Amino acid sequence: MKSTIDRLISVSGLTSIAIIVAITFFLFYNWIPLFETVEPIGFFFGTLWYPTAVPPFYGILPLLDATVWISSLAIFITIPSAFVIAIFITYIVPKKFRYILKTFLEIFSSIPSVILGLIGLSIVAPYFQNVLNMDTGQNILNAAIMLSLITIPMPASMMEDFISAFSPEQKEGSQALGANEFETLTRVVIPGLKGPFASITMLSLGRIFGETMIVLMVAGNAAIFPSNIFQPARVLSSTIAAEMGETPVGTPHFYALFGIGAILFVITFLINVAGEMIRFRYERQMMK
Amino acid sequence: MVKRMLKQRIAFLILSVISIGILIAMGSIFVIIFVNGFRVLNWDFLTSITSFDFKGMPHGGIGPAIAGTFIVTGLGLVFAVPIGVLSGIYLSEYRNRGKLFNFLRMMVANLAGVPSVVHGLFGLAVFVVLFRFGFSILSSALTLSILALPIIIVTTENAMRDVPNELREGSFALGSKRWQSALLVVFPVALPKVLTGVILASARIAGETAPVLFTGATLYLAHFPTALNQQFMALPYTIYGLMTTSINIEASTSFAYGIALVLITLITLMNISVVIFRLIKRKV
Amino acid sequence: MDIDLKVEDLSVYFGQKKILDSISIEIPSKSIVAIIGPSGCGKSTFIRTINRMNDRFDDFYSTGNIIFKGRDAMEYPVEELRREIGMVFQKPNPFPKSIYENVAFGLKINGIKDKKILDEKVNKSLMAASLYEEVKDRLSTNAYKLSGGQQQRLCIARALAVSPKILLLDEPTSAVDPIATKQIENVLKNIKKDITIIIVTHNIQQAARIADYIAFFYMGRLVEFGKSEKVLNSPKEKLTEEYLTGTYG
Repeated sequence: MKSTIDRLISVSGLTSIAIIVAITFFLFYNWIPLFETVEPIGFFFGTLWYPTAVPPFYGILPLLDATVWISSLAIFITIPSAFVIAIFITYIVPKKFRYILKTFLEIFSSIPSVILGLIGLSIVAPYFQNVLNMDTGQNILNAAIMLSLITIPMPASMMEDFISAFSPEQKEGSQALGANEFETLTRVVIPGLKGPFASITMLSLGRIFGETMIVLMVAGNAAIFPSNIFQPARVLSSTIAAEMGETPVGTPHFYALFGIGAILFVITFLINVAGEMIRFRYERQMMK
Repeated sequence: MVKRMLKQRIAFLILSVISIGILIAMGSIFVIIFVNGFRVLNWDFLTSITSFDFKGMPHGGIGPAIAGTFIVTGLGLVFAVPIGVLSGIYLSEYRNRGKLFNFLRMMVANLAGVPSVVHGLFGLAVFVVLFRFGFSILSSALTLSILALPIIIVTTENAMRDVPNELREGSFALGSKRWQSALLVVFPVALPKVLTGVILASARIAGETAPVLFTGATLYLAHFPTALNQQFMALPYTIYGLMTTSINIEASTSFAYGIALVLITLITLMNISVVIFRLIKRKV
Repeated sequence: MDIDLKVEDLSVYFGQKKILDSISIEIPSKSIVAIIGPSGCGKSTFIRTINRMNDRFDDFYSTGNIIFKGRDAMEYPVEELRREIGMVFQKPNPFPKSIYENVAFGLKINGIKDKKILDEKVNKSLMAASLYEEVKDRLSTNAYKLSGGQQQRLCIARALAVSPKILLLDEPTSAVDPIATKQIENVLKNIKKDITIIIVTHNIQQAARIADYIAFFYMGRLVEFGKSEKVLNSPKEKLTEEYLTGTYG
């Protein structure tokens, strides 16, 4: 009954699952041998990342710590900014400019992150160092700002979709009670959109967490535990990018970098699944 | 009443100021790239071979990097488009509801969310090491094709779904098999939108650095690429390399801005062509 | 009287909802059977069940039998059944291809490649649908360039090209103007010498103009079935009479 073409299409349809499974497998396959030479505790809870020292240290805790610092700061900048822009587009900008602004955001978000890295390195860092007198311009703040810039368009555009799609009846209901636009927004629209906003936040976090080139270029790359946002730091993703090029295949260092990749993959996967679940649940609620 | 209106005015004013500030920051990035990049841009810069002197200062042009980016992007699409399109067709015409469908869709979303550096690791483990393609154009193109895949799948699925159901019924009523209806009737109608997805995907992978970092890109190549098993120069990777390994920072930076301008022009043109297409489509 | 299509005790459900309730009917071959009744009575569902167009819906299921040429419809490969039982829809739905490609589509997907056969069948089908004279000089133009009425006749030609035994039409004139309606009715009267026609219509005058037999459906049940003049002039059932005199519907 089924033709060859049907089979071809069905097999292609399953590609995404196959690739996810393959990625998972190869990351773990190249990570596990690490534990022949390094204790799991030393890897997960080691406080030193000196992979080329003698003897080497493969503790990822400082990298994890820096990732948390940079991601939290970036999401802390991104989400409110995206929200403000979304309101700006729906409530303040004249209708005819909305499409232009959304298009601009879309085009901006397609800028390769390496170019944001270039700007952060050649413009923002010297400014931080020379004008604001920071010890170094390549630091957590710089990385978080550049990360936020490139991330903002996605959540802003998604939030805008939700805010402008918010049922006009509900809006009118509130306005009929004498509330003005701003009150309607803060008391009716925003509380009604908690679900989608949580999901959008997760998706943005997933992006920020996995973004590599910006942090690699502007965060300063010191594998230390940062104590404030003006210090340099090195995150999980950028460690892989910085070191894999000079690491011989099949060495503990090689395996350790795959281990970081596996952790990165699992965490982003979980963040994205959580985001999807929230969205899914919200959509189902809306259907009812 | 007056007080509440005032509150609204002030709130909207603050929101506007913040928004305009962010939008200006974004816009100024285009301006910075343009102004700095335009200074080094000339025919020779675009076409000739790169060389570095003993101080690590770059000379010549970025011809091989432009060629390399075009080749890996194009080759990546050659791998990604057929599978991505068929996969999108599967999701819209074959398995368009139910548990497996929801699961598959989530997997596509997750694949789109995989950090690009992880794709790089996967490419290294599979294409470079396991398949023995080495550090090569082929390995990088295959790695990039996986990045392009979810974008093509999602746009194909949506494009196919937008095709009115009457056409499917019309072809089924004539005795079409599922694939005949999908490929001969629905797909031709969806094709323009599918193409926008392909353009978006190429714009995305042309700018990627991390996936090619350890699958085949190199900072310096004395010639244009001639075979798929060679290493290659790529525009984004060259920017990174110049900014992080060079001794002469000033010369490298202006060189990097030149590359950035070329890259951003390329990508923005692709995106604008999609925007224009959508505008035309909307008016028709 | 020949009978190619026999429906026995057919009930159709969408989920919990019963749409058709034990329909039994024998369709006389090479005649026009009109199915009338108020909207929502199950007319469309009935003909869409005959060529198994409803199979695509998850919550659809049916009991009873549809016997086509002596075999249960469920036993046919669905593609074969639909080739033998063609269908024309409410809204004209030509493919966004040339006029020629539209008519040739059904033949091509069945593996006919010979240009001469294709040309011949396309021309014949267009003639049967009384469209040939209007389009013979522009067979390669896009079907969307045709008027609504022409598009609907093109859909009839497309359905006829694969030489079906039965043609199902689901309110085929509800989206076209009166002149086009007249043309389509004439086409149907002309082709019934070769083919059995089952047409769903909400228009009693249309049924009176073209049908040999009329089936009256009401709330998922077949209330009355018989020769048109009989059903129209002296209905046996009170419900039919009320519908015909416009008490409801």
